[in-house]
Amino acid sequence: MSRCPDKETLERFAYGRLPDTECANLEAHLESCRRCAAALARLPVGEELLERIRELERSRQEIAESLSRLPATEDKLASTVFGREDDKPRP
Amino acid sequence: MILMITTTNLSLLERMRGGSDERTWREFFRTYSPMLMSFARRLGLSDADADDAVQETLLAVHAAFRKMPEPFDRTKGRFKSWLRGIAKHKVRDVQRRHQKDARIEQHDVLAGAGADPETSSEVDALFELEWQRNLLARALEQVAREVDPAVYQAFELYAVHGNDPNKVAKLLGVSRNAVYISKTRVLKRVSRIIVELQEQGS
Ligand SMILES: [Zn+2]
Repeated sequence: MSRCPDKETLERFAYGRLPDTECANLEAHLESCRRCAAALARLPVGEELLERIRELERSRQEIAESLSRLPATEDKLASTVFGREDDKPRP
Repeated sequence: MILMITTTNLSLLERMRGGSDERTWREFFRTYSPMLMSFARRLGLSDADADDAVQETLLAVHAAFRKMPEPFDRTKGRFKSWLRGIAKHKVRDVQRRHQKDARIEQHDVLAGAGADPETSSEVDALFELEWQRNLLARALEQVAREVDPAVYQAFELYAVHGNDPNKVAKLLGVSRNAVYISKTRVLKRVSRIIVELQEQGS
């Protein structure tokens, strides 16, 4: 196993500021080093984005019933626009 | 290289222009109908009415794309404001039809917006919120297609829903490290895709 990266390197990796070549090495290290992987996961990175993802899930959940209509609507509109036959060539 | 990226970026909107094939149209539908549905529901429309507004919006969009002489200027968010205009108009149509049916004279959410575009900032803000949510949803869908299913599930269970990493690892049959790494990997990719989508203006 390669040497553990210092805290700063780990942070640069977490915030996406590490060059790709170094990322590959670090990712390989993280696969086998529990200490670094756990330290990385504890960094408060991406919390804002994660909160937005949770908010998205909640908002889609609120209108889940409306959204469940969409596949049928898609098929209905598609046949209106393109005709019934799936492989009908366009004029 | 830049030329190649540009071509790829423009693809969905470009393929819609001049009349799309069914596959492209379905891709367009799946990309934008959830946010249009959400927009209509949050403006007070019922399930069925919101569904009508979504359908009418997408039919109008399809018809307009067929006759569109040139592509959208993606640097200026032209597509977004264009779609917003059609969506607002169609929601208002559905609401008016109902008011006429029920002979109700009271104001609806979009009444002000219909009379005076200057007062529609709240509606525009709502559309913007849905637009941003949609960018995020599309980025997540793309990452889910790109990465190993276990990586994406680990991300959902551990990073999004805060489940214990040991339990997640056991459930998915991966190492605990893989669970930790999934968080960074997916978030990085999502951020990058969002930037790409914003650059495309689509
Ligand atoms: Zn280490």
